[in-house]
Amino acid sequence: MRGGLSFDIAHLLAGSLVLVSFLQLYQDRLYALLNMFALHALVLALSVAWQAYIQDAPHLYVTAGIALVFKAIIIPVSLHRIIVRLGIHREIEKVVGVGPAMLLGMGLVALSMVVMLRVTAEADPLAREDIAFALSVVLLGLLMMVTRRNAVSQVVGFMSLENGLVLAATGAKGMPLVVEISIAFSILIAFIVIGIFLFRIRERFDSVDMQALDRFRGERR
Amino acid sequence: MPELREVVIVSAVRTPMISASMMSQRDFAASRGSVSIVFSLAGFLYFGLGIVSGPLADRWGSRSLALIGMILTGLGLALAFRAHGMALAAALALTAGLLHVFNHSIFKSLLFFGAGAVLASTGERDMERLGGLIHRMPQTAFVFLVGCAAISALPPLNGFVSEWLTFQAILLSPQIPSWGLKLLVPAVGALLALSAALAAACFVKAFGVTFLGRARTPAAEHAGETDRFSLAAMFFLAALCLVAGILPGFFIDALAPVVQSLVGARMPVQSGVDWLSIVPIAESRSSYNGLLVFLFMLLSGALAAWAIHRLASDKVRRAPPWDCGYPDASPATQYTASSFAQPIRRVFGTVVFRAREQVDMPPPGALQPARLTVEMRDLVWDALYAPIAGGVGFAADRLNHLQFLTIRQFLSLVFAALVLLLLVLAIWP
Amino acid sequence: MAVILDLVVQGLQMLLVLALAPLLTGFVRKVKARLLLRQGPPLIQPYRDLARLMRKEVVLAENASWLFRVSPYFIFAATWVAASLVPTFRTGLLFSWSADFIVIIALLGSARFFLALAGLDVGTSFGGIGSSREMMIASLAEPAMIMIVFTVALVAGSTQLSTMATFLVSSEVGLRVSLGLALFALIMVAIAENARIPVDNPATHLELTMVHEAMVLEYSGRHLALIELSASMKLLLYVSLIACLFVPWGLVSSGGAVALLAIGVVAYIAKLAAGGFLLALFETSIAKMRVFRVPEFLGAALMLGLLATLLLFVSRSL
Repeated sequence: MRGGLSFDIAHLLAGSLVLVSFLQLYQDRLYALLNMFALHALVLALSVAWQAYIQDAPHLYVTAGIALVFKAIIIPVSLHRIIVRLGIHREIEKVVGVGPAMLLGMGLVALSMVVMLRVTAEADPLAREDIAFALSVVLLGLLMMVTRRNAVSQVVGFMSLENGLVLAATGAKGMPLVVEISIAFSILIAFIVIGIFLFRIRERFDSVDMQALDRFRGERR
Repeated sequence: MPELREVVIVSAVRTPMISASMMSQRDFAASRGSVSIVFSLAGFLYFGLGIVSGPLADRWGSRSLALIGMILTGLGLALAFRAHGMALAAALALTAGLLHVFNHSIFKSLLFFGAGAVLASTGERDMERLGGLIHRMPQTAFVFLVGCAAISALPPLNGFVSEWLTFQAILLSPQIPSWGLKLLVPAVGALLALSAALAAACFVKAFGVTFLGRARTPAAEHAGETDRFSLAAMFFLAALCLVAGILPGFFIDALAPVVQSLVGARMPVQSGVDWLSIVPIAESRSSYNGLLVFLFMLLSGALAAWAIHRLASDKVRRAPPWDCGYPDASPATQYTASSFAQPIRRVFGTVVFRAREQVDMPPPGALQPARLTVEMRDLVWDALYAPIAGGVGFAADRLNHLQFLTIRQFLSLVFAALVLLLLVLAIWP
Repeated sequence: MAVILDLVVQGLQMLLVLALAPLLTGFVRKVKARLLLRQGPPLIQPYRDLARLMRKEVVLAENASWLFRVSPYFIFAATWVAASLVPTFRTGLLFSWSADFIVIIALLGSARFFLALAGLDVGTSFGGIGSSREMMIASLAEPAMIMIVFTVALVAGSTQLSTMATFLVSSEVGLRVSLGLALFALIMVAIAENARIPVDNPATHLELTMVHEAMVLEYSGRHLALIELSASMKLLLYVSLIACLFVPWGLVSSGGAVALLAIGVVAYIAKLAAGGFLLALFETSIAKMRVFRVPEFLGAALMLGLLATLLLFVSRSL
């Protein structure tokens, strides 16, 4: 076994994060997307906690706790409330369909593997694959932001992007708490700003659908 | 929608283009990989085209292109392996490709003969005007079924053996160090599998709409069996399909000298293997025994039939079809070829072929019929081949003037060519 | 002596898959009923149904051809041969070298080919619905299966199921991401291929919601019994496949003592029960998808399989 069982579990958790990112891309209902995001944050929390255990770095437990409490519980619940209050259109309109989005996602994973494996030529193989997975999660988060017309789904994409960054940072053996706090603060600010804008847009345009479309959803061709 | 003759011309043009491009890029394994992926992509596209379009024989051309995609994948892999010095794997891939060429020639000929037999008996090429021919032409139906099963790569027939060997070659390819191929080959494998699955769908449609169901026109109702010579030819080809599927070792060994001369290695000798299996790489890795699979299936089916008929019941009663209690007397209500293809067209065709359906539903009380129009465009044709064809036509039109010159002008052409060649000889260092 | 033992084991396997298939179906139905707070039919009800159907007279449509009559036997033969080659309680089956994983998938594919043809045979529109939808589902499920085969074959170094099972039982494997992705994809494909919720409802008789049931609408008597038995065996095959590849503990290796075989059989039955329970739980907690969401579902399975294969291809160079 390469690296032993502990590294295999870390690897498995990183791979599960990529899997959950793909599942997020697949969803077309808003509540289901929020559940997937909560799952994403949960897997991230498990992954960070496992890294804390094998690297013997107790401050990472704090990171895992933050991920669990904030991103797996508080943010999905509050987004749920926002959706109910604003009466946001609960179906996610897509710019590209599920099939092409999955294909693009595959291409992005392949791209991140190639890039990472070229750039980090001397490191330990498992660490390289873990970083490649983290980059994939970032790219998939960006893909979600780009291919969805709904504001809430873009927020979720942004959050999962940040999860990918946290995964990369924890895997690199040593992420000081300062970095985590600064990342968390910036996310908080971004969230507040997005929330404010959602309210303003709602007041102004009476909808938060990015294209301000409300077309009749007949049979797709 | 490209006509059959255009499809034939296109495939005739592409083959030398392919071999030229393969020869000219000896050093880059990735280019061969890209050739194979282009062609397996083409294969997938053309199978898609085959399933969603019209008359019986036209689509054979499309599907030939698809199977050529599979053959070229094998060849591309062989070249990639050889470029990296993996001789045995190259031999496997090349054998898979060549065996598929052989198998293709058998079952495709069988299918063409069957289509011809149907055309001769009914005078109809469009399968949406056929139906129920299994009752009128039972022997043709049987051999056509064998051809359909062979081309859909169903065991224990021969199409499956070459597909199996191609998959084994793909499973050897992670050892190739080239990065481009590492990313392309899994995609090629997926596309191959997709093509095979679409092939099966295509031939269920072809056989089902033409031979099964109820006759849709009087021509199909009054068809008769073809003559003995055609049947004999078709039965011979069908038997060859079965033999090549059950005893593939002999055919692999027969191809070995060709493979040896092309890649410098050959697959392990197959005729000595126990029980007539084939072992492409090593016993521990994988093996296949078509004969045993065939015998197993035959025995289980016969055993089940015998046991049930003896111990349970063997009574049969004929009655009108159940059809959920609402049988429809008109044969026009059964599924047509385009309705059979509709789910697949909707899944794949909207993206790949820009398939668009339009339903014109008149209001209640109006007398005109409802119409369903399906519009499809072959994007590869429009983007790649149509400009080339247009360019060739344009150049041909211009060059046509050369037909109408006077004798003096013809002589001056010859003179100019001679002077040009002498100049080249003089100037060339 | 060893050859005779191997032969007995292979024969026992063939009888076991045949005998246990209706029991698995009955168990899944019973658990579903219990989860919905109903009594449910007895566990052996499928056996009674099969016996009843076997004794009945076959009612054939007037224009049904020989293909319609022969197909049930062919489908049964193909499915039975495929099911006998999946290691259930012991690896190293006697005839496992004659047909590997790809052949098993292709055998199931040929069973489906003939089932679709039989659906088109009588010339009703329901048969057409079933056949066309089935081929659409097959056009995505088969590539996904092939990708899963590639993944597991690349990990285990062989396409023979017995060799794969032996390798996966040994401790060399560890937890691999690709195997996790392949498991996920295999579960999705198994649900689609066995016509389970959310892809197709095995209990429905509403024509517009069925795929498998629409193809066999015209069958009756012993033909219908064979087709239902084949469907049960296919479900058993997929559950055994998941058990053999991803939960391989309890599989007796081929050199083991005879007494261990009993343990292997008990472990196998336990795995079947667990699989059946999880399937019933999943089916009762999710709704059936509309037909044109099934390609998205299977497309996701294909992508997962492709991703798993891609990861294995790439990580070979590390």
